[in-house]
Amino acid sequence: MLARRFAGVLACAIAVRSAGAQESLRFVGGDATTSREVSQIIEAAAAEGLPAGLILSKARFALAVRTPGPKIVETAKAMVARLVVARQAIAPHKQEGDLAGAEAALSYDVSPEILKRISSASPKQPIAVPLGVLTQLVADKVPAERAGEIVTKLLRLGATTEQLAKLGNDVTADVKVAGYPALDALKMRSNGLIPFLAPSPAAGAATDAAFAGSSTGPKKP
Amino acid sequence: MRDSRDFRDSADPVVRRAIDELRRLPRVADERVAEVVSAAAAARMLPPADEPILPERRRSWGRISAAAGLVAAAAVAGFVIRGTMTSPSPSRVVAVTPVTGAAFSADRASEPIVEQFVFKAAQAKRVALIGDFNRWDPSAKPMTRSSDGELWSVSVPIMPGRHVYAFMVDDSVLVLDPRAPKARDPDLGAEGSVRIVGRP
Repeated sequence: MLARRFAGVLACAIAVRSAGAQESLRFVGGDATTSREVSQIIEAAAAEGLPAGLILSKARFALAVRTPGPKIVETAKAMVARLVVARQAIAPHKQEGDLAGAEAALSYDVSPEILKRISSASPKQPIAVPLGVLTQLVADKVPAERAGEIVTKLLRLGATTEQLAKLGNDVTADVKVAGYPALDALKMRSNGLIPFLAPSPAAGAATDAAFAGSSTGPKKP
Repeated sequence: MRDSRDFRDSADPVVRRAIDELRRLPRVADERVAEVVSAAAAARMLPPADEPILPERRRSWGRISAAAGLVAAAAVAGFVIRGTMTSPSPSRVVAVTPVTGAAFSADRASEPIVEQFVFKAAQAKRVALIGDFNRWDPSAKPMTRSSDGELWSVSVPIMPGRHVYAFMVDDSVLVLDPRAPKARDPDLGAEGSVRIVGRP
């Protein structure tokens, strides 16, 4: 009797929890058509194994900034497309944070090839931070190719996520608060960081030289 | 007994500065001052004759570099030990779960970091932090008013990465963080505050 009651309670708890989980991915807001269409897009994305919560999040952001319904639907569709590209570009990385970072970078017109380079530069570590820094640099008007080169290089030199995050925040402050040119600020901050990363002075000097003149930088083996 | 003026005439600028500082203090018996200065002068290591004479400022640094190295090493060790034994700072707290061996770095890199958000809104009745880390859900992270009533604060565990957020004031007004940079969302054209979080 006791065991049957316990099983019943457990089943109820699981059912409530499952319902809650489903509810959490339902978009409610705006007009009925927008809610329905966005919810369908989210369901379809989840069925494809994409992190559908990111789409819900963006739709809610859109709602918070009073975006018209059709624009929310359009944005949700665009996100699904970008998530598919992002998943391919950064494989085998598949954590939600990594995919979110890659999707955000794509939304700023960063090419999938740059994402691939970053992914391969850090194959065993999450890349949400380097991708986030890349995205913010591009949002700050650093050319995507150049930002991608520098972030990739810093990763290969062993920059930690904290160092990368600090670099990203510093460059943003340089640009937004002090009004410095974005690329100059990035080069200056990178050159300030590299001596603390490079395994040998030669490597640091080579990288400095690359940042000073080359458009592609030295190639790592 | 030598007068401190004797030291001042013959000593190098470091000792002269010490004498000057001592003279600014309340009056102390001359003998005591002389003792201290003598001890300082005796303890001072003179460079060997063949050591290049550097400008005064560099010489001073060079002389203390070995001791500074030891002090720095001790400080680093102290910080490491302290970091493992005390609670971290309230503004940035890492939620740590024990992991071992090769899995350490990868596992740790995907753990959330507690970040504090502070916002000034003296007239507000309610303030909530909303952002991509809580799926822009206004009910997820209500902020707490400070005792003086002007500041609102909340600490949330968020994953490393770039995060876009804002404050929802009185359930109706979205306000950006004046302390944080802003970025325009390319899809929506709306701005959000940005914080990039990396693992310490």
